[in-house]
Amino acid sequence: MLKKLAMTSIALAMAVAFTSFPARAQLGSGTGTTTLSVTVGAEAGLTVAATSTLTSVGTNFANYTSSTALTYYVRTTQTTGAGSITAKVTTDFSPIGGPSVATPPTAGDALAYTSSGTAPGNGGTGAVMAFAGISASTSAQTNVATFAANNRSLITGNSESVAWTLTNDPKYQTGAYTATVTFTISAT
Amino acid sequence: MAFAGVAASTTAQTNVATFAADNRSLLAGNSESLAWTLTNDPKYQTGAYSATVTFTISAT
Repeated sequence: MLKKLAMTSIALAMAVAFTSFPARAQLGSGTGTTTLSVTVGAEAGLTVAATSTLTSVGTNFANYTSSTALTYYVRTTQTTGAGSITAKVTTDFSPIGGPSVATPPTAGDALAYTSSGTAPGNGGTGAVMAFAGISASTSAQTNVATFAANNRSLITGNSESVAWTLTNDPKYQTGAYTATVTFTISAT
Repeated sequence: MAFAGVAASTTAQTNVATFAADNRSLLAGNSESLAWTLTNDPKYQTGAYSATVTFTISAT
């Protein structure tokens, strides 16, 4: 199930003006015209997989790993536009006794990610869809992808994936822990 | 007087309304309205765009 988590969207100004020039039918026929106008603006939207379960496989105390799938929709302004997808840990792991992004039990414990995805087509020049070894933060927005001017996704959206790695510290008490990460997409 | 979900065309005349025998409007005219919908495709480059639609009425 996909859940729309965050969308910082530049309002689409799509006012359709309707100016009519009526013509009265004479001698069996007549014509009139109207001009339809639309302003296409920068816009962005995002859907994110609602849950991602981290697991440790292989050797003892191998890091926990998982991935989160995103679908993004974006249109940036020609020449001057830009945008980004960012991540922030808005709720740290709970309950206490396990991993923590803000106050890890051992220095160096971290929730980190590597992102990758498909660049927007139709002028996708300048988009950066991959960031490696980024430490997630409870205080800062960190980049998942960035967009440049005139970047435009497919109408069905483009894909982006975040591969998570969480230190498997023996200090963690056994149990189930959850944290919330909020993704934000923006476009100008 | 109502047609729904009609795709506008640059090549074909599409119906807005049709009349039958002995149809007669008011002297002051009768009203007709079109509600437009345009796909918002991210592929569209930002900017202002316009198009002209020509309406034709005929009677025999």
